Formats: sequence, structure tokens, C-alpha cells
Amino acid sequence: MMRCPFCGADYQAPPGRRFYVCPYCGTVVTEGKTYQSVYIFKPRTDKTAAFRAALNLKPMGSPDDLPQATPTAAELHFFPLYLYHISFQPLPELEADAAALAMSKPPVELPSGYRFPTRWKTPFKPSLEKIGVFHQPDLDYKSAFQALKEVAEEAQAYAYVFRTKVSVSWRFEGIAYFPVWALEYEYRGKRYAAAVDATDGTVIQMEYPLTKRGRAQAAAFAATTVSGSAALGTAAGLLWDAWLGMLGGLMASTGAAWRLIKFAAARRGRYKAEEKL
Amino acid sequence: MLEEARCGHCGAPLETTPDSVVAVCRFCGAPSFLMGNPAEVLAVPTLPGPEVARRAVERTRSDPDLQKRLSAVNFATSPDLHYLPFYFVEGTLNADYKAAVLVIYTERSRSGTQIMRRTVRVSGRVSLTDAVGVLARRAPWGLSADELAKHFLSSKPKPKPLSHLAAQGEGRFLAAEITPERAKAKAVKILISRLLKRVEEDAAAKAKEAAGLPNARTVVQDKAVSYEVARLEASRLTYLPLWVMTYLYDGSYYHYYLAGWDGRVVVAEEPVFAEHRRASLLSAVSAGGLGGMGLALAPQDFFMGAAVLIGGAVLSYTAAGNMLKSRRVEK
Repeated sequence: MMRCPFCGADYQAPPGRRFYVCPYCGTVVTEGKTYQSVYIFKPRTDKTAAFRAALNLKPMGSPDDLPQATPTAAELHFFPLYLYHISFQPLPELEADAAALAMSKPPVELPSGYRFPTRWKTPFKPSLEKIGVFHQPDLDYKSAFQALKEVAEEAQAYAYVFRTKVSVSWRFEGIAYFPVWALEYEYRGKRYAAAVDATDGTVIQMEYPLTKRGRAQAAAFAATTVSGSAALGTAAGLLWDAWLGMLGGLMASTGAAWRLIKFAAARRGRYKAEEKL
Repeated sequence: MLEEARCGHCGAPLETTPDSVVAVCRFCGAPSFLMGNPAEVLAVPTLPGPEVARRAVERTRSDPDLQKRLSAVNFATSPDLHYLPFYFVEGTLNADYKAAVLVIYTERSRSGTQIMRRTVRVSGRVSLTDAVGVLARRAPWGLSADELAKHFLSSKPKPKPLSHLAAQGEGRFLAAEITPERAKAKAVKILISRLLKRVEEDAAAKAKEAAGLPNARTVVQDKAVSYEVARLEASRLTYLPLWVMTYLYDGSYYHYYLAGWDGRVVVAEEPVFAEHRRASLLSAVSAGGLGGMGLALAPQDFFMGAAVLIGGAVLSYTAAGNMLKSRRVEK
């Protein structure tokens, strides 16, 4: 049990960690003292804009009147990031700043390869007014650094060109909070969740109701893919063995059919952000 | 890590680190130069906002998918201007290589058509001179920045000293966060992958020639490459104008990304329409059929047959994913 030195709240946290984050005000405690090098990426998207972004997204199979769904809950989550300053010897000009997620299991799954910004953070000052939920960093900063091996690889590729080897050293610079909106909305009596990046309003992921029409369409796509592949496989196989061709067509379309049927059989659609534009 | 630097325009504190080149005031938006001489930084001038908006509308009118649905398209807002900092790195790389190339061809004999393979050993030297645009930021921007840099390299607009432009006070200048050296490191990684691709092409061509089979298929199985960088130069920091124009289609927001100097749409986000889903369905079916051909072929040539079967399955799976998408990207 920890007691926050700033807001006085008690919170549960396993012993033996380097940093403790007060979930209510975001104050960081290390070795019994308040930690100072804490930054925040300011949320620039408010609750209304976050809901608008999610409900107007129109993913495949979503109902036309989804924008009229009722927002039921919105909470800002602050993910802790570790900040590093990385330097390379003997090539000091390659020095870099980087940030890595300090949590092993974030409450919202982020797109793979997501690189966090390191700049335009501002110093964080806790306040007694509740702005969101602050999450505990559960990774130590040495293992979180593993996520940044790309930065070191880049420097090594460059150094190799000059036939030099670089040694990587890094300095821990502090903690930064990254804001994500966790949203919940109701559509025809059922609740659905969505997550929106609060710095730029990108919908990271979202659950949504699937219409009968959308599911029927996916099922029809699956049936067409399998039967079409089998027919085409038979035709292509005529050169050698038509039966094998048909079997091959069925085999090759299994993956596609599974993907489409999984969609058609689901109660809820799931959208996930992909490429950043 | 915070240094005390203040905005030259309004006096508000600026957030910087020792390697910041340009910082932009969060309060008034004016750029401040923290390192080097402002005259050293270049920027490409942009067309005015209304002209850019006009180009976006024009593009929508000529887009084969959107022009049929113009009544449902609404341009919601005026476009936003961002100036993104780039270094353009030019390099010359040379590679000496040795490779083993598998040459696959068909041979007709009395017993029918047979697929033949032969391994050919080749060696050679290739050279690559190419340019790469590197975004001078640590945080990724996305596809539009890559496409903007490519469009800059192909259309070659003339940059001017930034001090000429900053006076206009329009747009958001993003802070330049990496040094030219770091940009070179990023560029080298990209140039090496291009060099290796060229090595593969050269090895394949040489192997076909050596085997006397110009129409054969080739697979580079094994290669040893030693390369050297003959020249590597970074341009001055160059700001490129990128406009983001939002439009509404059927109540949902989509974006166009336009190059400021000529109004060209470098990336367009568009809805997936029924015709795209039909096209994906068709490619899933064709890929499945290809897989069928692969299995039918397997008794003749097991490896080739298996490769075609697996390839067909992967393509078909990907096409199924495209049927379920709601947005697509046009470059």
C-alpha cells in the first residue's frame, strides 16, 4: 500500500519497483521521494471530438445510424513512457532521444510498431482536480529499452559504412504521460468500447455493432471465394489433374474463407488502426 | 533537459533540447532559430490556401470513384498547412558481390514439358547514386511525409531561405529535431537496401545471360556483398509545405494530403466502395484458383507446386482482409 505525498490517496502497488505512480493525480514516487522529471503530452482532442471521430468512422458492416449512438463513458488514460537519451561512441553526432512504453500490458492495445513522440511534451504538474487515470509502469527501464533497438541498429548500419563499430550507451531521462481516451457508447441497449489517441484524435481501435446486412455480405463473400477458387482451380488443373486443382482451390481459399466467416459470425465488429497517414 | 529559450516574437518560453534546430512557439506559432543561421534553413514556398482547396476539389471531380458520388462529398473546412523539415541525402554506393542464382526454365522433350533448375554462380560490381528525403523528426509523421519527399525529388521545386517565408506567418512549422548526421544514418539504411535490390537484379540478369536463357525465372539463393560508400551528402534543412484537407463523405471524415508548391495530392484517403469490394473478391477468387493450379502441379514438381499453392493462399487471405476494410489509401 502506498500513500501519495501530493494528494494523500492510498493505492495498491507491488513492492520492489523503481517508480510508483499515483493513479489519481499522477505524482511519481521513487525511493520514497517525489520524482521531478515527469512530462506530459497534452491532450488536444476533447471528449466530444473523440466520440465524433469514433462514431463517424463507418467501419465495414456498421449501422448507418451509429453516429446517433449514446456516449455512456469517457475516461482519459495516461500511459507512462520512459524517456531516454541515447548516444554512440565514437560517433557522438548520432545522439538521439527516444521514448518507450513502460507497461507490459497497456489497457488499450496499440498498433504494432507505434513510435511515441519525444518532443512537445511539457513538464507535468499534478493537480487535485482529477483529469484521468494514471497507469503504473510495470517494466523496469532497462527492459523497456529493448523496444528501441531499432534506433541502435540504424546507428550501427551507419557506423559500418565507415568501418567503425559503435557502442551504445543511454541515459534515463524521465517519465512522460501519453493520453488515450477510453470511450464507451451504447447502441440499441448494448455497450461498445473505443480508444482514441488524445494527442491527435486518431481512432486506435473500436468495437461496433455489426448489422445483419454486413454479416450476410461477408458470408456471401466467403461462399463466393471458396466456390470460385474451387471452380477456377478445377479449370487450371485440367492441364494436369482437375481433381487436385479443385482440392487446391479449396485449400488455398481456406484462409480467406476463415477470415470472412469469422467476421460474419462475430457479434461485434472490431476496427484497428493500421497505417498512419 | 529544458533550456531557457524564449520566442523572439512574443517572449513565451520555448521547449527545446540542445539539438533543436528550429523551435516553434506554442503560443504565437512563430519559428525561432536556436542553432545555426536562419538563412541556412530553406523552405519551399506554397500556393495560397484557397488555391490548394481548389486543387483538392478538382481532384475529387476527376477521381474515378468519387466523381460519381460528388453530391455526397462535402469539403468541411479550409485546409491546414504544416511545414515539415527534411534533409535530402544524396549518396553514391558501390558493391562487389558474388551470388548463387537458381535459374528455373521449362524444357520440352518427348515425355512432355519438364521444369528444370540450374544453379549459376555469378559475380559483379554495381553502383548506385540516389537521393533520399529524411524527415528531420524523431516522431514518425506517416505515409504522407514519405510521399511528399518523393514528390519533391521528382518535381524539383526551388527552395528559398526560410527567413523569406517565415515573415508570412502562415502554417505550423514543425521543429527540426535531428542533425544532418543522424539523417545520413537513416538515409544509409535506405540506400543500402536499394543497393542490395540492384545487386539482386544484376545477379539475376547475369545468371540468365550466362545460362543463355533470357526468359527463365531466377531466384537469388545466396549472395555475399561487400559495399562501400563513396559519397554521402546531406542538403541544408529544407521545409516542405504539406496541406491537409478534410472532406466529409456520407457523414464520415477523410483527408487529402497535398504538396504546397504545386497542389498535387500526394496521399488521398478514400472510402471503400462496393466496386472495390467486388474487385477484392475477384482477386481472392483468382488467387484461390492459382493455389488450385499449384496443387495440381505438385505431382510434377513438388517445390514449385507448393510455392504456388502457398502464394495463392496468402494472396487470397490478404484480399479477404481488403473486403472487410472501410478506408483505403491512394497515392
